[in-house]
Amino acid sequence: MVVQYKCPGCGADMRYDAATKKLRCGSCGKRMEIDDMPRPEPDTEEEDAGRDAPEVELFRGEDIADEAEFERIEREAGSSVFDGQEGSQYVCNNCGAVVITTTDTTATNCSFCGAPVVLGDRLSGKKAPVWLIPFRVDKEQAISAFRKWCGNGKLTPKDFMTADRIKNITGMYVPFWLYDMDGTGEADCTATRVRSYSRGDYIYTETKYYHVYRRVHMTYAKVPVDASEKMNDELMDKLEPFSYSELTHFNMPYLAGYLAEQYNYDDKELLPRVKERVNRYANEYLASTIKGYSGVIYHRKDIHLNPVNARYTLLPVWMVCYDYHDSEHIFAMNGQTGKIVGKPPLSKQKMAMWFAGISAGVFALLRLVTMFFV
Amino acid sequence: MRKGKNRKMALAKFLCVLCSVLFAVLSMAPQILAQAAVPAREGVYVYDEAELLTVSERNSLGDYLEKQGEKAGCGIYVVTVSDTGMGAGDRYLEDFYDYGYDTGQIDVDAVLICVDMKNRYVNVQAYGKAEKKIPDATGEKIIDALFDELRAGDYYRAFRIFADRAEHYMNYVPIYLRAWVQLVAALVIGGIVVGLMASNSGGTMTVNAGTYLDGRYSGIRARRDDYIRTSITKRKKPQQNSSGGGGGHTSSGGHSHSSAGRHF
Repeated sequence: MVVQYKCPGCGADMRYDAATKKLRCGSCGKRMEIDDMPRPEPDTEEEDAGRDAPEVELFRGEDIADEAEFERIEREAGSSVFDGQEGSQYVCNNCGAVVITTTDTTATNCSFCGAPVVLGDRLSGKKAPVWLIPFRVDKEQAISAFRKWCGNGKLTPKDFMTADRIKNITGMYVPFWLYDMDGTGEADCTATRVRSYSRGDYIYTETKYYHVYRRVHMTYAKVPVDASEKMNDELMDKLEPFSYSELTHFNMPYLAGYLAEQYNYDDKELLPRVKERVNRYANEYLASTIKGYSGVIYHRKDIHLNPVNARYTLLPVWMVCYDYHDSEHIFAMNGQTGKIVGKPPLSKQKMAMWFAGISAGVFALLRLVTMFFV
Repeated sequence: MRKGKNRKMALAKFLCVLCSVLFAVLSMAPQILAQAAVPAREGVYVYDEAELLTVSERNSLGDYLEKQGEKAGCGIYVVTVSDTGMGAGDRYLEDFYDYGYDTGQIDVDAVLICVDMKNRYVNVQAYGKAEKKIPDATGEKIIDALFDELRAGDYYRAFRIFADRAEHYMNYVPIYLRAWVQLVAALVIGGIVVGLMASNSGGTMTVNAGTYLDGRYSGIRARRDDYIRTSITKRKKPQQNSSGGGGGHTSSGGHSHSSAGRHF
């Protein structure tokens, strides 16, 4: 099921515009509210009812008339490349070309006519995202922010700093699971308070021992874990934090003009990862409740966490592909906050300069201190 | 492009040269300064009023004190007295230094030992530059080193030890003040800083344990802080060993110095 958003004025393709938070027609400039856009009717499977699905707006007749026809090519007999739902082929409503997708694509552009295409059936049922944070940084802003960031690198080679070889920059909605977890923590420990004072010729060290117990309740809300196989976990973790004040219910028109993927791992598969992470946070929190002591020895520490909710959420990421000396460097930018992560190339010369400079400076300082104060 | 590369190479070479010159100058500087301050040393180093030494011992000790004083960058003096006309204390040697200072017979920077035979009291004082290098506690150490010989009446040996120890402490540089140790430390610091810069260049984690914690639904449910017991340990206060001065002795001539003394 291919969904494309047509301008009611001129019939051209509309895309999501980060600046106005509306769909914008590229040819006549008309803007449409996201919530005013028609919702496509599922053509095959029944949608899973309920489960945090957003309210559905009723269609308006004139809008439906503007929609182009779409059809789905049935799986050919004997073909083994496509299998089940993954084998679905999509045809662009504009030019009739087959839309080239991977099995994970949920939104893309037609490779022939460039029209934004949203694959509705891959965004319904179990694969329907609950939430989404729309892009706030648009393409131009992303490029200039990336350029600026490259120029700031203290160790990046000079010819990299000009950032003039951006191979491509892609706005992409990356699938995440946002977990809510609650849990309890218990700690039983011996803690000490040390104080020293002097009387006469002696220094006294007084150590007071306490038996300390804590039981805490913790709630962690919306801890994100990237659910895409393709995306580097470390890179995605570093993109955080996202500001959840802009979290909205998922609606397909947001995807128009961007790439989007569906999750490869479901919420159960990623549970160990989020648990490992939250467990770390919980340990720190538990330790932070034992204050005012100079030393703590744990006898027992128990932390129990249980997941409460996991919500399928699409988060905005600009992926920047950069060609540098025949190798590709991938950077990711938080599409909401503009934070950039990714390993830039390091200049050996610059590293040597910094090393020599810092070492010489420190050495000079030490010698000066030695000369004047000793 | 090639021109740019050549310029870079030249710059790198220049930096290398600059660094090595800087290193040489900075590591040599204290020695150069020290040498510049050394005046020609001529004169008497042994004032043996109590006649504890033979003439040949006096001469050979005088030469030795001169030699060690040259190495130490200060005057090293031996004073003996049969009767100070006063009780045991710092006073006699202080007056001795004041007089020597006023008449120019004694180096401004000086380490002196005085053996008072009537009170059987030995006193070590250090003035000027030597005061910092040989504070009271170090003076005590010097006396420790020669005390047995002094007691046994082997004065010549005792004064030789005095000259050796004084020279040793004057030239002693703590390990953390040595140029090569500081160079190694500087290189390590440079390496760590650049390493951190490199590892942080890819962006850092800016979320922490508190980011996703929902404060409204989190908190302490139960707590106990039971006092069990107190243990107290005591240790003796370390001797005041301020490197900044000699512990606040001043002669009547107004010369600040360090002093250590005891009966033998």
